[in-house]
Amino acid sequence: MKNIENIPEELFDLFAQKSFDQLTAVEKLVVEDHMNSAEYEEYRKLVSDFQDIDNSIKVEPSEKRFTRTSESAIRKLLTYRIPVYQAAAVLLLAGFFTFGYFGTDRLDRAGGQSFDSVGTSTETIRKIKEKVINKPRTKTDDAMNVAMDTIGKSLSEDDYPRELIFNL
Amino acid sequence: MTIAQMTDEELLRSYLRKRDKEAYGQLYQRHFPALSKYIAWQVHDLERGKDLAQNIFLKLYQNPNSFDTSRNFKVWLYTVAKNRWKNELRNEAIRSKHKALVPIETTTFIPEEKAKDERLQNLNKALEALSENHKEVFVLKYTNGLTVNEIAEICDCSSGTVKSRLFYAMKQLKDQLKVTQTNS
Repeated sequence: MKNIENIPEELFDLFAQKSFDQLTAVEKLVVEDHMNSAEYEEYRKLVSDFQDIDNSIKVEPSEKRFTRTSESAIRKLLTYRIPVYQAAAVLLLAGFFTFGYFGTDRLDRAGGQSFDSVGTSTETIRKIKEKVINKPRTKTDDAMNVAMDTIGKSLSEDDYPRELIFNL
Repeated sequence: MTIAQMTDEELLRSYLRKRDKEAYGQLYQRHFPALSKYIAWQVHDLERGKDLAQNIFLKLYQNPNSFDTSRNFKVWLYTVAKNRWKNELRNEAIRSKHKALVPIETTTFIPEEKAKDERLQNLNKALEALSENHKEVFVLKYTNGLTVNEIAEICDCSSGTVKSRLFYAMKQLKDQLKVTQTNS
């Protein structure tokens, strides 16, 4: 056998079409270049038997089948029941995106930030308070202190605190 | 020109442009039986072959733009089918891994009267013994009448490789049948 890759395609077609006796002189030359007549007949019988089986398998193209398949595909989609594991997976994913994205870590940090800001505010108030306390006392301060002490008390002219008497 | 005289590519273009259902129906009538049988020979199951072929046509019906208009329709169709059944077999192999000790069902799809014929029975057995690549090339050539170049495109190999596979497939089948005949 010569290089198989160079066998003319025509030879493979002839197996399916003609017996050796039916070949033309030119075709016989093509065949004999690669095999003898007995081999050719063996291959021909093989192809013919195979085609015999293949032709006996009947497949009718049916439009009904086509429509039925499309319908059944749609029905399948509409009546699709979500399996438990898929629902569980969705819940898990939702949980992951909620807690995984914001995360306890992030939540803590967000809380920490607000606690920090509370701490900072307390500190500021303390500083202001100290400033106020340590401020040199003025007459007005004294007057205010007395006023605070006497809140809720009825004042007579005698009881009237002297600090609150201003000489305008 | 009547619909029957139009080429596959013309029919599909007509369906693409005008959603011409008659043109699509013609394509379906022309290729559905052979495509089903091609897949059936590979997966040993005619019903599965029909289902897969049906599925391919359904996808094409819904999304005709999936067809590459620069290609030969028949070659495109068989390439899609080949990828589909290979995926099916791969998925089946994965599934069967999980079904330990459960044998994979193989069904014969040859009609009863042919299955009774001993020579045809032997030929079928010999075919099943061929490697996937050899069987595929043989089936494409002798059931679907594709040219060597078309088969080369479907199998993504050179035409020389197709001829070589085809020749060895036939030689192996011939030798196998001889052995069986001698034994019987």
